[in-house]
Amino acid sequence: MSDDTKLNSIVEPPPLVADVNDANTTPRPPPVPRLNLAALDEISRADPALFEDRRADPPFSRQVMTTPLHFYVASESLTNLWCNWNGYTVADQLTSLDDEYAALRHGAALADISPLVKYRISGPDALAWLRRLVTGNLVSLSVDEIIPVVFCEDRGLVVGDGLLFRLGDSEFRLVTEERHLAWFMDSAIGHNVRIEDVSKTLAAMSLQGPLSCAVLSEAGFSGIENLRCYTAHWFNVTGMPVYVSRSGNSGDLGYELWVDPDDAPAFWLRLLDKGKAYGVKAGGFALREIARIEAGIPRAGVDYLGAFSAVDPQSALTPFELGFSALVDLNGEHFTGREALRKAKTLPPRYILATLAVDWSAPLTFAAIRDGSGVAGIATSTGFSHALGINLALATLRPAAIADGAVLHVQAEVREELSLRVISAAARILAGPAVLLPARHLVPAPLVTRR
Amino acid sequence: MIHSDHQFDAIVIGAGHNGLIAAAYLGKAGKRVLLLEAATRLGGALTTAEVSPDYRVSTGAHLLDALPRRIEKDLKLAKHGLRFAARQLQTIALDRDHNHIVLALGRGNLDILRRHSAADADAFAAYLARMKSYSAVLGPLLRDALPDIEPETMSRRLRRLVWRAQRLGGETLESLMRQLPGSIGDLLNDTFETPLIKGALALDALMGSGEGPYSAGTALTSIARQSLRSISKGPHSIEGGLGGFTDALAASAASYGVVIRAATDVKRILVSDGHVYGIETQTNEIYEAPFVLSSAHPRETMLDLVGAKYLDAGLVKQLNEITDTGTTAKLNLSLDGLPTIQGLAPQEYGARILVAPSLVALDDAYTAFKHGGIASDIPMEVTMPSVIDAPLVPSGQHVMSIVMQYVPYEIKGGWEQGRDRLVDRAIETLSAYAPDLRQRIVAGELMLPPDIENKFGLVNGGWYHGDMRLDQLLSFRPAPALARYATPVKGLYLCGAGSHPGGGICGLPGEYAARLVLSEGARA
Amino acid sequence: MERHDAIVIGGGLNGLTAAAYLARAGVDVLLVERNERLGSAAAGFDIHPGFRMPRFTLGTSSLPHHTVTDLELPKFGLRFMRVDGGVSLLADGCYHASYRDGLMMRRELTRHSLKDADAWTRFRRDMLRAQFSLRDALAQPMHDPSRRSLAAFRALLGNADQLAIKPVPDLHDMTRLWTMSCAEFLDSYFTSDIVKMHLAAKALAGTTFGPYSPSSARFLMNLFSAETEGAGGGAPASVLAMGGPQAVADALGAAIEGFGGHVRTESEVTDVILRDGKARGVALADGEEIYADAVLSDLDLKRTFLALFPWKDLPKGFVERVGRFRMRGVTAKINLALDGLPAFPVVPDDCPALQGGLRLAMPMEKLEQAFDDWRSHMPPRTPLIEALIPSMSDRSLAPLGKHVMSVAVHYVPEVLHDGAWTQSRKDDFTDLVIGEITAHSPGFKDLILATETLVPPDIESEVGLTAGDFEQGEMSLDQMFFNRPMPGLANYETPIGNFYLCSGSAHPGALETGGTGAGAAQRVAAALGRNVITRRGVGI
Repeated sequence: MSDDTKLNSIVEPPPLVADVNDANTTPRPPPVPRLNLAALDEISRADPALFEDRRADPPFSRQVMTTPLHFYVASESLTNLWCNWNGYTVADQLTSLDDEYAALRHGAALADISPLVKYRISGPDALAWLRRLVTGNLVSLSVDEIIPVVFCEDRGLVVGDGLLFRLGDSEFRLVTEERHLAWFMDSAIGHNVRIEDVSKTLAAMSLQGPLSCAVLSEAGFSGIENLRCYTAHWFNVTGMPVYVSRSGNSGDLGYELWVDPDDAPAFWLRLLDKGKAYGVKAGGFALREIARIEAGIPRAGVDYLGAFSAVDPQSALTPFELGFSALVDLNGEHFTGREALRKAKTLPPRYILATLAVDWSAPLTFAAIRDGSGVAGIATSTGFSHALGINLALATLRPAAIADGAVLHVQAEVREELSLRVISAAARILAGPAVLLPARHLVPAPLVTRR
Repeated sequence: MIHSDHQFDAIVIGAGHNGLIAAAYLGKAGKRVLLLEAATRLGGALTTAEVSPDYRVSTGAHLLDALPRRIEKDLKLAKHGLRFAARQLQTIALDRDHNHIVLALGRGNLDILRRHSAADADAFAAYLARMKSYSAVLGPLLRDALPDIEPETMSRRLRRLVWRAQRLGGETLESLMRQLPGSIGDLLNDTFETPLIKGALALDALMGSGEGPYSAGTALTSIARQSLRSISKGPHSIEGGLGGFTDALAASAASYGVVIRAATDVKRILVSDGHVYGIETQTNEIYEAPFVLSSAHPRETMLDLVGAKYLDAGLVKQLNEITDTGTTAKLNLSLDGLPTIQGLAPQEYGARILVAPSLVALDDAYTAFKHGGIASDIPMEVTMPSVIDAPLVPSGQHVMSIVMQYVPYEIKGGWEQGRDRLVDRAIETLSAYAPDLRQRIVAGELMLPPDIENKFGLVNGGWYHGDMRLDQLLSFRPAPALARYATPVKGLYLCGAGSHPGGGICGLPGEYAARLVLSEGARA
Repeated sequence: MERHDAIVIGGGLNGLTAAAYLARAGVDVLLVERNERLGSAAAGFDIHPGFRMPRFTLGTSSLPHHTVTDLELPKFGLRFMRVDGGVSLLADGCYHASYRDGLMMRRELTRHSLKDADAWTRFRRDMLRAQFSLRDALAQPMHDPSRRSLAAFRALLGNADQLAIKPVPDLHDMTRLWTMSCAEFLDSYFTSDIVKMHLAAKALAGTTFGPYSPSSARFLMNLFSAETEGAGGGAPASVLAMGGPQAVADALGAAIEGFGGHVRTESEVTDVILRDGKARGVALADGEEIYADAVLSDLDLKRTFLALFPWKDLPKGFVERVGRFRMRGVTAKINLALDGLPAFPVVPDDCPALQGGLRLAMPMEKLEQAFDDWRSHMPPRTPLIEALIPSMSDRSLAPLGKHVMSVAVHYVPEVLHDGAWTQSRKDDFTDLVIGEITAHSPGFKDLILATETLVPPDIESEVGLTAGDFEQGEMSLDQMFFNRPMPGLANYETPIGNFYLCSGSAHPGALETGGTGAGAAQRVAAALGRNVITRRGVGI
């Protein structure tokens, strides 16, 4: 049997029965006869309640929410390490962070990113509504183009950030880390626009790494190498439509696939299969985290608090303070918070979000960034960069800490059996992201054949 | 410089009193002003019309409460025909037993009050003095233009407030601090024992508001009203009804060259690049001006005429949440003679008459109102303007103008059935004091909150373009970002009752907005 | 002749807290309680052999973290349990539960509205913001603006400056919360009526405000406090003491004695001994006289001044002012011993939120009607019913398999417009309430082993709370902060020298359990030249 027929047998879609809106928590019983998922399949059939619509379950009864890819990801897990991402149970590490990292930076890493929140925005005023929502300029956004966006409330404080896709003339998709339906709907007053949370009708996976283009090409995404950065294209692979965007947060070449939850497993398996020779490995959430820290990308809810979550008004920040300046166009059309941001621009920032390199060759845990006089800032995300062999941190710092000549350091307490070692390590502010590779932008994307 | 017919220095939307005043001030300063009114007649809720042929009365509002003398003089209103039928109208609380209380000092008045309660007669002077000193402390805050937003100025203003308060003296300050956050009902219960005086003073404080006598914050509302009223020592009655006031304003505006167009409905305010440049009418005519002032409801101005896309989303939400509570109905009656109110001296028929026998009755009416009903005893404010302004009616005839408080916008069972019941109850309530009223009625017209909404464009039939509550006053009126008349759209200003200091026919929003536009214009 | 540094009259939670703080500061303090048990309203009892329950209050009880830590209460046997925040049952077979866990709460809200699930974030933020700024305010002494002292004037100017630098939108948010009605305030966050009913019923229970009353929105913030707030981002928890509120009182009593203070129960103070216009001690019902340098009263304002003093010894006009202090009973209590756990078919089996209590919520309009009935002194028709089955989480309260149910019924007037609370009226009332519960729990009636009904007049006569008012004075804006209990009496002082008010009638009253006691202790210790150390105002 050829590979292709095998795939076809897998992707035969089962009839839609349950509520479409809840596809994320309701993966069909995996139609995967030849994989080592038989055992899982058994379990799922034995306990169908586990896969039923969440509304049938009382909210307290089950906290495990799974994505459509869950069982396929699970079958890659050698570690049994899981974590919670946006309420979903996702793999933290699958093989080992070292291996996954090596795949990310030298081959390609495949990850399930279905827990991201996705909104569909449509209707006659969709563009007008979006223009008023986000701080950036959407004038030149054409169909199949993507733009990173940040959106603020009236005082110019960031509510959230995300990736905006233009799917059609008046159809858009906004992908965010956190949920914002209340704010979106409140701000829709006076607009003829439809805003739907379609998170559960759309599965997503990301393939990042220098060989990601090659892998997709091998897997039948012909012409993928010509896809420009921050654009997307519909492909039809073995009869299944898939929307592929050249995007991601690894600072390197990478793609994200947006597919019907029913089709997602087929693509997952196909990419792993076709990518085997390219060193493709499935990666977990820990890999995603270190990749974005290396790429200097703050995460909502972690590196900054949305304006509607921050209890202390001082901990809500402006786009300038978060390093989103490039996403703000103060001279274009009106958007929410523009006046406030015009004013904020004239004032010195209260904080600056920066990437810090902490010179220590083993992973450290720390929060306070100190200068001579005390705490100069807080590290909000930390991680050990295998590429650089040092600790990295995204930190919110007081402007004084950025000044020339400021000497920063961190302190970490390392417990060694019953003794404690206090490590003081120097911290340097990096001018930009630790990892930002030119391959991101290259067209055609590097299509390296098997190494 | 030659102006085309369609180019002006400023356009004012809405020819209610605030719009007229704003336009007149701008015209007086030499600006070419266009004033547009959607209705066929000017004045908004301040009009005079016939109840029935030859019987004329103020259709909506019937007394002028708080117009500052300054505006009267600045706009030369007397020259333009403003005549007071009576200044500083007395307010009389009707008593079932004919011992009507005049709510003012004076030996005769206090003697009558003493018949009700000696203690109350003593307390009354102290009460008035206390209210006066309260409004001396808070009045400037409540009626002056808002200070600019700089912390230093704000701080200076607040410090001055603290200082004024400190000067009040321990006991008065003590009672102010205590009563400010409380209810008018509790305040009056602490002061008086006669139900009638409590009911009447509470109604005086609550007229037109959607809150009950025991609602927290109504003491402040009452002080705010007092301090607005103290601007002009109102209420006053105008010759020819409040339409006479509108006519004088219009004449004044016209004398300053203001072009007034009635029956011209504005479709939208034109904005380009964040600046206003004119308006477009429903008939697709375009008028251009670098300044546009709107005395329409802030929500209508900003959301319907400008459009949400020029505004921050949070502001749109705030505008959307402005509450307007319609609480009053107006009943105008043509009478073939003066009804007899026992115990009322002849000269007192021209007074402002309050019907509110007690706090209990008022509270019951409020409770019924809350649940979409009408009380059996309807609190009301009654005037018979024809007593002091004979030309309103044929000789020997009279008109009665009744504002009924606590009439809901929607009633259980619908107004179809409720209409007659309401009129019946109102006349029944009044008949307890004027038994021959029913026989005297020749004709009448009733305006329910929905009618007031339709006729005067007042949302829900509320009077104020946004209820006058603490969360919708001062820097919060109509929303923090719009509190200083200017809007996020450059050149567009709010000048209606929806802006500080608010409604109550004081004309101040119109005046302040016009002054701001003039100073901005001078700067530009 | 017995003599102490200080005497505390009354062993309610505030009195106990005051005495414990004083004892810890080295003050020789005596607490005198009329009843056999400490705790006053917090007292528990055996409703039926083997069934223990709080008699007067619903039974949730918490103390601020700083009080527990300052007074070392865990050492004296106090344990708190935090459970999910309760369930609202609605007439049409819907329910809404509060979960501490953010994800669970999200899923719960999603059942009613996807938008509301997201709006929760902003609601929670605003409530916590308000709660934190209130906590800062509570930690500062209240200056009475009517006293013309330099310090008060300075404090006022300081407040003015603070206001001036506050951004107007912040002031607006604050004003909205403190002046708007609960119903209207919730409308600006949520769209689902069920969500709104759930929150309103919980916030307004026990207050003298209806959902449409201006200034009722602020009670929403009371649901969130340091004690009830979890890090999970969900709804506030319900906090229960092991052994019920009585255990809190007992632990405080043990703390007083542990710190060297004295507690006397079953002794009623009938008079405060005055000499030269200053309090010198107290006289007991049996004629015994005890002397002290400072006397603190944990009785409400009215009872304190109208019962403990000859009126002629009070300043002119003072009695009238005390008389005008508004105290109104609003809550009745029904205590039930049950043969088993009642079933609530609408609520899924094993719903953990049931441990936090349940409410029979109703549409705003109906709730307002219940409130209006109360205002017009009508016998309750559709009261707001709140119930707690503390034995679900604390097995020591009832025999195995059996339960106690504590029912608090709100908007119950103290005085009826058409006569007294006769026994037959109380029976009708009990039947009404049990009928309402049975409508949601088939067979509930048959589980009842014993019942006791206490209407506000019963609470007045048994606990000594004037009008049966648990808040010891209405928590209306004009009776709060420097106005509590009345201008000129802020900061726990009274017109009588050496005599202080430490009951809930003083600031902060119901805003902080034991808060008045702690504040009064600080004030009295300072007067006695001692220093009370408290971590009050320290965030956690």
